[in-house]
Amino acid sequence: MKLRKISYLAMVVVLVLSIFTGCASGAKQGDNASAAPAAGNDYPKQPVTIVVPYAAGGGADLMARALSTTLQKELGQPFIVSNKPGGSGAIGMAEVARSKEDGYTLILTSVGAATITPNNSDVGYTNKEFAPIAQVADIPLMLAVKADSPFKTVQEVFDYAEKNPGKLTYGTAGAGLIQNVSMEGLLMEMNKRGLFTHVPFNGGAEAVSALMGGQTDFAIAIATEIIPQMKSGQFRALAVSTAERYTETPDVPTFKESGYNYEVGVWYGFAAKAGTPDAVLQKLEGAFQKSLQDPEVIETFKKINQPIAFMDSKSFTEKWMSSFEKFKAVVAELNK
Amino acid sequence: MKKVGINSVVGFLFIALSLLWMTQIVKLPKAMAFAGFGAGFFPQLVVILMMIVSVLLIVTDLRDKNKSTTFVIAKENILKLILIVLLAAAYIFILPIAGYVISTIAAVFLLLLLFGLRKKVTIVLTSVLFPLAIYYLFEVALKVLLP
Amino acid sequence: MFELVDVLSLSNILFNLAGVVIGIIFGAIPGLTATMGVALFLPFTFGMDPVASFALLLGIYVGGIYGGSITAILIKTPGTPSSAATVLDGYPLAEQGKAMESLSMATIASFIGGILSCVALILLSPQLAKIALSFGPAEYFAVGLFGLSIVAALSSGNLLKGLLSALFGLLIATVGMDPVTGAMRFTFGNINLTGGIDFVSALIGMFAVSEVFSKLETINADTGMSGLKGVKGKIVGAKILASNTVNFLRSSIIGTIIGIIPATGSGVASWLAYNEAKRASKHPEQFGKGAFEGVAASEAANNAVTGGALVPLLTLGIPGDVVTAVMLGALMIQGLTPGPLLFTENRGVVTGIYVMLILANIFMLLVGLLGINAFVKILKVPTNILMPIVLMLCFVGAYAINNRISDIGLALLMGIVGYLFNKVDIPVPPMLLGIILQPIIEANFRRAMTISHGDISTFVTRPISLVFILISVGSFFWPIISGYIKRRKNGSAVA
Repeated sequence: MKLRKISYLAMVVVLVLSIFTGCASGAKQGDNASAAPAAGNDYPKQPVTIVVPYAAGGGADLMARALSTTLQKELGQPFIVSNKPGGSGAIGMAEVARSKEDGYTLILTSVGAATITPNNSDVGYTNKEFAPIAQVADIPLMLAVKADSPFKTVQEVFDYAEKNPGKLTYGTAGAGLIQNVSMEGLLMEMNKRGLFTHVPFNGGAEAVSALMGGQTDFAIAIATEIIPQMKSGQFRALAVSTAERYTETPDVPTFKESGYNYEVGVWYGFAAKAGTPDAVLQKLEGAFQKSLQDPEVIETFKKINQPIAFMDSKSFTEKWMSSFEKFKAVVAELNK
Repeated sequence: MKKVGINSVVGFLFIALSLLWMTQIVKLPKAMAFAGFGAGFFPQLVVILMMIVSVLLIVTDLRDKNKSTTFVIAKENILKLILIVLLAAAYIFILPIAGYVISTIAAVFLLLLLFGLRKKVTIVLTSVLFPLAIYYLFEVALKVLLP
Repeated sequence: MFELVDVLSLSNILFNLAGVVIGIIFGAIPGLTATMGVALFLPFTFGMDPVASFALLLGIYVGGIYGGSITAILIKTPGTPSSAATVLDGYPLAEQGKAMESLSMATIASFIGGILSCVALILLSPQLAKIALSFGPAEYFAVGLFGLSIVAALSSGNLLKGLLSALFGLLIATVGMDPVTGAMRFTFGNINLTGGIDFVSALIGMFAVSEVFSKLETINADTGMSGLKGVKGKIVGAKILASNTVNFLRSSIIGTIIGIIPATGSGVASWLAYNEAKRASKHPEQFGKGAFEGVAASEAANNAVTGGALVPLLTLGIPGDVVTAVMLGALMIQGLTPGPLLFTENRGVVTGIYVMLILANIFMLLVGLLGINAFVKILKVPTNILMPIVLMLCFVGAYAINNRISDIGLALLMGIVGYLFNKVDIPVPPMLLGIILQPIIEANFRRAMTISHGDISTFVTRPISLVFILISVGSFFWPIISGYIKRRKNGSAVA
C-alpha cells in the first residue's frame, strides 16, 4: 500500500519535471529568437544585469548601485545589480564569460579579477572572453609605515632592506592580489626578489590592523585604507603609486619621484562578453561617460572614496590587455 | 563469526576521503611556500590525523564485542529519502530555467505529498501562497534578488 | 543634554525600531544574516544624517544577531551562524514543551549580553582597543586552537568520532583559494568551488536540511505531528535567571572580547561561551539535553559581540567583524573618519551611536518578548506542512548568500552528510567548529611563521599566545581525563 503510494508519487515527480523542462527549453528558444534582431540600435529592450563579483556593501557594489540609477535614466531600462562574490572575483567573472554576447549581462570588474586571478589558477576565463567598455574608477596604492617607524622615506626602506634582505615584512590584503603581485613585480624588475617578506592578510582592514599593532613593518594598501589612519596620525604614507602626486594627499611623494618604477592602481571598469555587437558597446560607453558626469554619481563616488577616472573603451582595453600580459609574466615567475 | 561494525565502515570511508584529498595535495604548487609551509602543509596534516583517527576507530571497533552492525533506516523510509533527495536535486536543476516561483510551487506541492499531507485544499494553498510570499518578502521587502 | 534630545528624535527612534524588526527577520530566516541585512540597507542610508543612518544599521545588526535564536530554538535551524550553539540546548527545551521559556531566556540573555558590551564600549573603548592591536597572527592561531579544543567537550561519548567530525570540517574548509599563496585547492575543476565551501550554506545543510530528512522518517502520517509537546504559556522564571548571573557575565565578557579582536566573530564567541558555561556548570551532563545555561551562554555571548566589535571600529577604524566592516563603509559615506579624531571632532555622532546601540538592545528585548507568543505559533503548524516550508526556506537562504545556485546543492549535500553522521552517531557540531576555525588556524599559523622568519618559538614566546595554547591543551584533555576518572570510579571498563 505504502509502496504503491510512493511509486505513484515518483511518477508525479517525473511527470512534472518533464513538463517543466519542456516549457523551459521552449521559453529559452523564444528568448533567443527575440534577441537576434537586437544587434544594436534598439538596445536595451529588457533589463540589464550588472554582475558585481564582490559582496554587497563593498566599494564595487556601491559604485554599481550608484551607476545603475543614472544608466537607467540614460538608456531607459532598469540596470539590476547582482552580487556574485567569491574566489577574489573569479566566480562572477566566470559567469559573465559564459553569458550571451548580447550586452544584457555586464560585469563591474577590477584589476585583480581581470588581470591576475586568471593567471594564477585555472578559473574558467582569461582576458579573451571580455569586451571592456569603460573604466570608471582608479585608486592608487600607498606604502605606509606606523607613525613611530624609523623610516621617513621609501628610499630608507629599500636601503635598510638591501642590507638585511628578507627581514622587513610587508602586509597586504591578500596573496595574488594587485598589492602583492605588483610589489613583487617591481622587485623582480629591480632583480631583487626576496628583498621584503610578504605577509598576506584576509582583506585590507586586517593588513591595516596588523601594521597598527606592529605585526608587520610596512603595508601596501589602497589609498582609501591608509588616508584615514594618516589623518588620525597613526600612519605615515611614504609613497603613492600614481604618475603625478595624488590630489587627496599632495604631501606624499610618488614612487617615481624616489626613483622606483611603481605606477599601479586598483581600477574598476565595466565589460561585456566578447563578441557583443559594437553598436551596443558604444551605446554603453557613452552612457557610462555621461553617468560619471552626473552630480549625484559624483557625490556618491566622493562619499565612498572612489576617485572617478573615466577611460574610454579603447584605452581601457589596452590597459586591461597589457596589464594581463605583464602580470602573467610576474605570476609565472612567482609560481616558479 | 566476526562481523564488521558500523564504526569500521565509517573509518574506512574517512580513509577513502583522506586518500582522495591526498591525490589533490600532491598536485598543489610547491612554489611560494612561505617559510617552508606551502598550500599543501595544512591539508596534509589534517589528512594524516584523519587517517590515524580512522585507524584507531577501526581498531577499537574490531575489539568491541558489543558493536552495532546494523544501520537502521526502514525500507519505506529509504524510498522516501531517495525521493526527497531526487526532488531537491531536480529543484536545483530547474530553478535557473523555470524561475523561482514556478519551481518552488512545484517543489512545495510535491514535498507536501511526500510528507503525507492529504488535505487537498491545504496542499494547494500552501504550495501557491508560500512561494509567492517568499518571493515578495525577498524581492520587494528585503531587496534580495531571486533566480 | 542637548545632544541627547537631538539624538533621540522621533525619526531616529523609528529608524532604530525598524532596523531591529528588519534585523530579526534577516536573522530568523536561515541564510539571511545580519551582515547581509546591513549591506543591503546601506545604500538607503546615503541620504540620511549620520545618527539616523546608524540608528537603522545598528538596529539591523543587533536584531540580526538575536533573530537567529528564534528559529534555532523552534525548528532546530540556526538562522545565523552565531546561533548554532543555541540549537544544542534550545531545541531540546522546545521538545520538552519549554519553547517559551527557552525563547525568553534567549531574548533576555541577548539583551544582557548586548547591554553589557555597550557599557564596555562606552566606558573602556580606548583601553580595550589596545587588546585588538596586541593580537597578531600568532595570537589568532592560539585562539583558533583554543576554539578547536572544545571538540573534546562536544563529542559526547565517542571522542574519536568527534575528532573525525572536526577533521572533516577542517578538511572541507580548505577547498577554494589558499589564503597565503592564492593557489586554488581541492576545487576538482569546479568553478563554483573556487570561492570555497560557503560556511552559511554548509551550516544550513548540516543542521536544518538534515533535520528535514530525519523528520521525514519519524513523521506520523496520521497526525502530521512529530514529537514536539504542547507549548505551555510562560516565560523563564526569575529563579533560573538569577542562577545564571555568573554565566551571563562570563559569556558577555567572552563575547565582548571576541568582538573586539578583529577577524573572529559571533560564531566563535557563542561556542567558546557555551564551552565555558558547560565546564563551570554543576550539571554539565544536562548540556545538549536542554540546559537553560547553554542557551543563555550562547545568546549572551553572540549579542555581546556587537558592542565589542564597535570598539576597534570607532577607536581605530578597524572592523571587529564582518558586519562592522560594512559599517566602516557607512561611516566613510557619512564623511566620518573613524579613529581617535572621531571622538574629538564628532563627539555628537559617537554619542548618537552609543545611544542607538543601547536603544536597539532595548527594542530587541521588547520586540523579542512581545513576539514570543507569535513566534511559538510556528510550533502549531503541523510538521508535515512545516518541513517542506523549512526545506524551501533553507534553499532560498543558501541561494541568497552569494546568489549562487550551486550553494543550494552544497546545502543539500551537507544535509545528506549531516543526516548520515547522525545515523552513525558522529556528532555534527565539531564539524561546524572545524569549518569556522580552519581559516583562523591555518592562515594565521603560516602568517606567524612568515613574520617570525620560520621560528616556531614565536607561539610560546609571545605571552598571550602562550596562555591560549596552554589553556587549549588543558581544555582539550580535561574532559578526557575527568571522564576517565569517572569511569574508573564507576568501575566500568567500556571504552
